[in-house]
Amino acid sequence: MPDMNIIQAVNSALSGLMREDARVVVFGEDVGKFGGVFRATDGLQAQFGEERVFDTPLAEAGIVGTAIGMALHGMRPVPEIQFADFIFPAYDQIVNEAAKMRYRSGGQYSCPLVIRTPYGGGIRGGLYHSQSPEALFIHVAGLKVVVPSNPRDAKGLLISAVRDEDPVIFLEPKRIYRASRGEVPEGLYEVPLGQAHVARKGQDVTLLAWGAALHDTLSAAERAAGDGTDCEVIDLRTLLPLDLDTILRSVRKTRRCVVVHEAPKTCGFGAELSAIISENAFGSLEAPVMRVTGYDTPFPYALEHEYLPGPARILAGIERALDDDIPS
Amino acid sequence: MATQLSLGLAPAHVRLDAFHRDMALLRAVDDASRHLDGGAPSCLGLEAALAGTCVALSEKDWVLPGPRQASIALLRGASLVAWFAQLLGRSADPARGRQAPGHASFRSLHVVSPTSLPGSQLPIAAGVARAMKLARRGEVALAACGHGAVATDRFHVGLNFAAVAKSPVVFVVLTQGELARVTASRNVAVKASAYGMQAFEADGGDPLAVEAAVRAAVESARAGQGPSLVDVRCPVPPALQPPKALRVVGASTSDDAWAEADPLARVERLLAQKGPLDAAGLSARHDDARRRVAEAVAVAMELPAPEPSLLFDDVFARMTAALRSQRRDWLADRAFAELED
Repeated sequence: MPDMNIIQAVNSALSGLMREDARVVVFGEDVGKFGGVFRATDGLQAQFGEERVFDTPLAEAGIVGTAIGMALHGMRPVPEIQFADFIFPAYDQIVNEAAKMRYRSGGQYSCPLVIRTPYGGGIRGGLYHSQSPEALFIHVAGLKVVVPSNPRDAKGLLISAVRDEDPVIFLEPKRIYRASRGEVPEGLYEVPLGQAHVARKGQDVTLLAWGAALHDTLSAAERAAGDGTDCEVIDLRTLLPLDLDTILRSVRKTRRCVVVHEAPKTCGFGAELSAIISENAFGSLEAPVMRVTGYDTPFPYALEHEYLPGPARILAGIERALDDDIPS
Repeated sequence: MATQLSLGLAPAHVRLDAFHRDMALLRAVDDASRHLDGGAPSCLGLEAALAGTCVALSEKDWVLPGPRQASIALLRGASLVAWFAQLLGRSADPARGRQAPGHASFRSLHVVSPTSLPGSQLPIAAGVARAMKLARRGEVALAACGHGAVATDRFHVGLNFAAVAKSPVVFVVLTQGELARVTASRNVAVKASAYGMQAFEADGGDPLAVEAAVRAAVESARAGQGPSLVDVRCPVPPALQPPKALRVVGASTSDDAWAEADPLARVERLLAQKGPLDAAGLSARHDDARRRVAEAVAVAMELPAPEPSLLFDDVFARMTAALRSQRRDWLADRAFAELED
């Protein structure tokens, strides 16, 4: 089984999907000849031709509008938005057109497309190359939101997303694009949407994370183990649909929970997770659900490691979740 | 499908007669819609533009209209009952009562669900056309919008993407009212050259002129020549009385001016000169259209609202666990409310 990083796994998934299904097309800014700013589409144009792998003008609303139209006509477009920070000119097309097409047409039309986009900080990208906008898409009825944390999942989840009948926002953690490596099967396989993965079993605290933050969370869990705290770490992998069963099973066991994400705290997905856990497992909780997140500031360039929820801050969050002095 | 499709190169007055049948139907639909709850985006003054546009397309072509152009679906064969069921939010609406009045969609007729956002359909039409180009079946996508859309980023992106990709798409802009509030260009057509595409212009009160312009654009797209912009200048009707006022940007036309410019009246004057319909025939045509519309409205009014449980369908192809849970909550809340009553 070949060893790959996330970029190579994404490339492998796209290549396999395009071989399997002539309806799959890949496009975006510089994805064709150049192979993408992060090289995720490297070699695909040479392999599949300029009709199926093409460069577009730099206008995200046009990239996504094109994808919606192609999906309506029966294709499986996989557009790339170069950075998630740049997706907002296309937000209207995503929210008001792609997400609503099936519902507003009474199921006559569907919009099976996958928007791939690198997200997250920690690469000295500053305000416009670091944001984590997952909650802005989870909040929109009609969209699925997927965030892999490792190469094997990246490939399997992307294959599931492209084969899915609905629009998917596929957020790729660029901080670990190359740093996360592992064995990846060569053929096509699916990691089903809506299934979380227990990345570390434990008894004392449940830690929920996704994407690049999963790795910091695992590091924190290892350090906590040194202090005698046994953390269970769940990689959500799909934020919508959410694997509520796996979350609740864990929280009912550990009775404590910390959510970790890079996005700002207020109205971040951690807030929703905390509410869901309170609604469904309040009687099991020994402590409030704690959140370790980015701050409610724009993403800072020089101070990005102050902003990001690294292992030390996650450890502090675990300590707060273990504290029996519940705030009143 | 529109009646004219089978007429080929029939003499102009015969073609005008067929156009008149379609335009009379649209006028009857518009008149009836203004008196119904919710109303609908009016196509008053656009009848010739819609009829002329429709006849220039073949069945395999797709239409992406805005709400004021959506009644083109009726000329492509949509049932009047389905149309009014959509308008009234009744069960026979193919879109299951999900959209506001006048946003009907008919996939079997290749009429895409309209968006309420002016011009959002233009980049999507460019995408549909790009897929058509790959499919190599000679299909053409046609996006129709009002001139207000010209001011949007969506207009620019849609036309630019289509032009760069040389996709088989026709953008029909129906100008109806004051253009100066939208663009400093002297007209819409002039914008085409900046995108490197062809422009066609037509008098929107003349269905034959609109057909000629749109047909030229469609044939060009089908021949692989890429997209075109069709600038159709439509007459502005007088302001209608509230609560169903027609919102058209620009000064309201006087009744006398409208009598002169009304596309339906113009066609009727020509038909009266050349036949085949005399005044009695024209009157009978209108009576027939009004009768068909009234019957459809009556049928639609008697239909129930969509099944309440449809609230949760069609968000996704398969309902998520979260939606199933909310559906259970909704059922429980309904049961509770019934007990309370």
